[in-house]
Amino acid sequence: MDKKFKFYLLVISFSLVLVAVVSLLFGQIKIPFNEFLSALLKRGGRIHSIIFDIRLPRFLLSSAVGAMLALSGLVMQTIFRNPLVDPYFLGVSSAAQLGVSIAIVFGAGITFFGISLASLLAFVFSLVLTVLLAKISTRINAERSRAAIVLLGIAIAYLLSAFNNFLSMFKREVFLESTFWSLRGFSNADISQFLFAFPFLIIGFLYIIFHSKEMNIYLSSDITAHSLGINLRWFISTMLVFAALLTSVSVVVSGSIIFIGLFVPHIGRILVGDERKKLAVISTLVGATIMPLFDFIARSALPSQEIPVNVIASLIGAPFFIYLFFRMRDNGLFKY
Amino acid sequence: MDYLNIKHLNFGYLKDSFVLKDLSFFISDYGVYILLGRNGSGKTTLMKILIKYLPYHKGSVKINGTELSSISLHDLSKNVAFLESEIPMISLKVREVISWGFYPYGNGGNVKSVAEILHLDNLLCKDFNSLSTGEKKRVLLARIFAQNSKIVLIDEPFNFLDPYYQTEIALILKKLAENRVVLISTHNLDAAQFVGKKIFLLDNGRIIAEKTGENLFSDDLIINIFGVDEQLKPHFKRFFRIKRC
Repeated sequence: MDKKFKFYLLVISFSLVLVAVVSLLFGQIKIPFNEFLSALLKRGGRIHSIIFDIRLPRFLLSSAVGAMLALSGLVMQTIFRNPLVDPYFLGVSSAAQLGVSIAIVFGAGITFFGISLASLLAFVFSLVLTVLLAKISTRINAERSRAAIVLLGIAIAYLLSAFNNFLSMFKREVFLESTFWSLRGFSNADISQFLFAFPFLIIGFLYIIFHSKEMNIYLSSDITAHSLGINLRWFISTMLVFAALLTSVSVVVSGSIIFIGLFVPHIGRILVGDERKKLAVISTLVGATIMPLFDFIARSALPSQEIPVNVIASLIGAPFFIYLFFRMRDNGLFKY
Repeated sequence: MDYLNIKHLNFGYLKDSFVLKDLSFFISDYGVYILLGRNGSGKTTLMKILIKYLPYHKGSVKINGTELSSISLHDLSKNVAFLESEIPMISLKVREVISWGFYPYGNGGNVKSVAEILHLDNLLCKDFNSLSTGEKKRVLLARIFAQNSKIVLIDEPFNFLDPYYQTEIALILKKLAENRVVLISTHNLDAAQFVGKKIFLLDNGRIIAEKTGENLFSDDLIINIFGVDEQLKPHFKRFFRIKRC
């Protein structure tokens, strides 16, 4: 492990803890530190409830979603060898939104075992899309048609949003509610959503870490990867499945959140370079830190109401990224 | 047993148009072997078939006595190493690039000993992209050393290199060939003459001649292969005579 990586690992881990403490203490109601400590120790009471029922689930969920989107974006940019793709290029969010629209047509309030029909259908639809993409990516000649996979994803996304709009024609609230659903952020986060998402994050993270060497080799060229014994079709399609899965889960629990998937991998590259194992670790941590930070700002910047987290992501994230970009002396950022 | 034995190999990218036609040759000894032929004669295609990057339609290809189609991709990478002619953009440390040769059993300790063979020890912690073209080529060859397969295919190893590095790469190829079969394609006839044990002349998808011995290139043969027309012939001969002496 080199020094730079260790340094950023420490700094970002520390920031994550800091963001955690801040987002538990502050908000519409400010909790003094001594009350915070006593609430940690004894159950019951209003403070305890604010921390453990509202703020902690919200922090955990947003942190997990940030990590998942960052990882997914990293995988997508690696597989397509393109710094401009983001997790939504595969059409996952359109699929999820169509699922939600259909659920709203049937009745927004329906739940199964405590899970809303909307979330369920959103997940099912994005899973179906993922399987479809995996099938497509192994069928077509993988070494020539990576652009084709992106184009197919976009084509499918258009198709799905056409269905979505079609549904809105017949039932007016579909459009409004499904749009609201996809932009809802973390405003109704609860611990069950985190418990649903977290295993996917862990499995995805481990899979990507264990295959970081392949990703390194893959980036140099297809034929080099092939000649070293990497089955390209298998590699590309499993990686895409993991990227789509991580994105699906994050869309199901929090809607479509922009910025993180596209930019966090680049922030990681600026910090620790292109080696995929270090990059995956740092990107995951940066995503896990930035997302709850944005969410904290989104819910506490205005005294009376929440700002959508996407607004904060763009408002703060974009200038921050531009600053990082120009601060860096040798920016090989757009080379792959 | 032959390290490499190809019989009646046919291949075409499109139906009914063949790049390789009834191609046959074998290699049963260590050394550097040269594939010589015009652009588009099928040299790179042949190498891609030998690493299963392209499928072959007819004929047989045996690697160490085993038919290519029955060797798994993973086992093949232990038997056949391949280096493409382009130098890829890799924004990683040299150490990492060399360690690919050990994939999937990579361990850092061996990288150093491989790097020492090619005098790359002081470059190990540098960024691959920051190296000169000649150094990059050396690093990529170190990866081939690490891969430690008995057959090595190198597409145009002398491309983009100045005479100094051409000599250096030629010496590295000789070193590789001490205990390996090294099959290269090249248009650099001087280097080919220097390293080559045997030359396979590839024309129109088949091997039309195999040459061994001291004077691998007689001018007429080169003119035949490269199809220089009558008008150019005197110039072509003079060009090579000047270059050779």
